[in-house]
Amino acid sequence: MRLTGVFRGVVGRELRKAMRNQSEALYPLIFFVLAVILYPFALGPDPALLARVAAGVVWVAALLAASLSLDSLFRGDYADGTLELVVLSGAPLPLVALAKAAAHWLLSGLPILVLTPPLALALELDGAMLVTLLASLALGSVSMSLIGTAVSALTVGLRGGGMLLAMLILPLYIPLLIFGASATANAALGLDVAAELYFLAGLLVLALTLTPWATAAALEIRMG
Amino acid sequence: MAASRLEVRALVVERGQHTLVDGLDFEASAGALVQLAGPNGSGKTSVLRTLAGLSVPAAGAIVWRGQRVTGAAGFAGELNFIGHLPALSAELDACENLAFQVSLSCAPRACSVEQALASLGAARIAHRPVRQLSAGQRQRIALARLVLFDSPLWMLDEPFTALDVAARRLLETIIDAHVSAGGIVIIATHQEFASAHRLVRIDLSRTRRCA
Repeated sequence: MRLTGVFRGVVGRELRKAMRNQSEALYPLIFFVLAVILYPFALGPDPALLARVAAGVVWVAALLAASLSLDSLFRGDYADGTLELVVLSGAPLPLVALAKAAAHWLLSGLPILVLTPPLALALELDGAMLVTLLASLALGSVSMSLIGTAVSALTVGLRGGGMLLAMLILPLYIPLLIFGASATANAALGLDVAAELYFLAGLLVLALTLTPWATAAALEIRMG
Repeated sequence: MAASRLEVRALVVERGQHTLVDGLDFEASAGALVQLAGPNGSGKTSVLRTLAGLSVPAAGAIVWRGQRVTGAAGFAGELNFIGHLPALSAELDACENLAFQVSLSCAPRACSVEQALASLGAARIAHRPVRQLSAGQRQRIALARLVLFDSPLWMLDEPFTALDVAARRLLETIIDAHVSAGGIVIIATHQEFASAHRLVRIDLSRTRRCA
């Protein structure tokens, strides 16, 4: 089937490029770890204080790390002319966009989820709070990749595109941050977290149904 | 399906505030070889990109098989466009790059990736990362797309750049074979090149209206 071929072609190429250029794939993850580890140094070893801020710290670090890696999502393809061929190829652009977002999540969101439990222990976060943090990050990180892909497509090839990308993307991530961090705060108080997680899931569905088309439109604008 | 035929009607191409081409008219049907010529800065690349649908014309129409073409996906699989960028990722090798393009393209494949590379004399460099290759070698790999896909319409932007004498001959042969087989080739170049076919030469510096 051609559609699955397009999807697998794009994802496979991104993963292969990351394997060949591991440093570029690793930098945002190292940044994530370092950013989280800085907080215990700044705030001191008080377990109660750390546990209270931990979820927010992990969420902010994850947002920043994701936006760092978004900058290079389309940049190479734009610079070497691949993006022109993608647009000309007749392949459905929303599908290409979805595949790009999937590859970004595999290279950024998934490793962040894996790195979070050991980091959370350093921040005195455990039990129900850790589970809630992971659940909220799992939902939120997919939305981050989807929204980020659209903004990345919109800023590709612009001068100072990296900074512009960060300025455009971080405000868009605020709803994710609010519900993600407050879910864990509720878990700390022993309250129900279903509402926040449902809201994150709702945002994910919204991103999944809107951003591939937004990315496709952005690519057409940037190529035109 | 209507016969393969490209018509360009009163095309106006602007770049920024600058009008590069004003009122370009030509037609190319099966077996046509068209050269867009002109000195540097005369708008060859801009016109070719506009014809391919990568830029929007300021006015005029591009018609393919009797249908007006708008947007980059307008030709779908029928256009083989070789821009001045080779469209190869530096991290991947030639086979991986071309296999990716095969997975995306709607165009039917004419041969295997290895055969396409071999016909451009690039079989030996097929498995080396593109970052290790010279500009001429990259251009050979980019041109392998012409053999790889079976598309009636070719648009080539300065395809002879960086090629050595042997590769240049090879490309001239490939272009001639495509034209003989009823294909349409539009080449934007200021260079002279040899062809067994009648060449329609359009000098873009003459299509500009004087202010």
